[in-house]
Amino acid sequence: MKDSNLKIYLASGDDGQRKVLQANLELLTHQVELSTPSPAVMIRRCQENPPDIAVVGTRFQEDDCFRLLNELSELNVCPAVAVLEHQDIDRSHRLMADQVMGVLVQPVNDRDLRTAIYLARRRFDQSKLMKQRISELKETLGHNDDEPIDDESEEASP
Amino acid sequence: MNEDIGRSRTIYLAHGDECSRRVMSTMLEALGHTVPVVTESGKCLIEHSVHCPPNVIVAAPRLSDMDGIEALIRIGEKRPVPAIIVARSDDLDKVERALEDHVMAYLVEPLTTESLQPAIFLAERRFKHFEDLRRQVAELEEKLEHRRIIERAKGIVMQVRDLGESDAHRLLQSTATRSRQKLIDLAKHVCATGDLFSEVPKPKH
Repeated sequence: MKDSNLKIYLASGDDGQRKVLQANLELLTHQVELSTPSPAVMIRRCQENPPDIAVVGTRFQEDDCFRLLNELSELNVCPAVAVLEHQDIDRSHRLMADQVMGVLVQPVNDRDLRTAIYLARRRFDQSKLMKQRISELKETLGHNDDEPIDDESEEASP
Repeated sequence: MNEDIGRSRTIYLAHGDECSRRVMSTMLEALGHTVPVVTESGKCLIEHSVHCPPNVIVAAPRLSDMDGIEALIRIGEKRPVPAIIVARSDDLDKVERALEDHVMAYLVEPLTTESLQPAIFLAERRFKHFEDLRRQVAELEEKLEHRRIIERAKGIVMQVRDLGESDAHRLLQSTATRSRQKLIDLAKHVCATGDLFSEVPKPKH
């Protein structure tokens, strides 16, 4: 079922790109509660009050989109969708971030955003549930996070 | 071009529409990928994917003989492969109700090579990420289950041999060492038979 009325934070260094993305997101009936050219503002707002999804464009004045996406991923508070430009594709290997669940390439329309947001949210929730399960299991086992998962059923050494 | 993004992959393509198949396979080949399976049939896609899995599957929901998502689910049950769904905009509601675990990218037709390239990369990365999480969950669940069995075996040894907890554990460990078994295998044997006395000499008091 189509997602609607999601709280979205949008960051892009390009005013025109930001306006087009915002218009497309609003066409999908989402609430763009933050629209900013500043990566620092995006990070701060996500820390303070995470959105349902973060949409990150390009052409930031002081930073690059990959660093912002990776920082958002480290925060691990919401899924992120990257909207890249054609010339950025070759650099998208820098998206080391696990929480970047969608990548689109300009020009994008509302249907592209709809599908990317839909899948990004579901995969983010799925990833969160699995990480939660891993933490619970480690806690039950008294497992230290830094330790590798060893097998206590190894053949006993003589 | 970055090697990881532009690396050549083996991709299977399934689409019910002949023109779309031709355009998409041309796009994939133009991106440097090998597309040995181009089909309109879900059954053909399943057969090839299970027999010889590709790096990535690109499939449409409408295939000639079955639903493309159903085909991906069947493949995922046997040999999970990262998958990309390409849907027409009038199929989106239907697709979203059915998206399953291995669909890691979801694109709307008409496609462009620019949108396909990062989608393929992302689908593989996300798939590996989820496989890693699944593996961790499975390993930890197995470890927990082993611990429960060992504890149960220890309880049996404590009761039958009238031993304290640490002595019972030591006895299990030394028995496993002597018989060159894994502790878990010995513990399973103890739980199944209720004793290990045929294999273990009684400790001297």
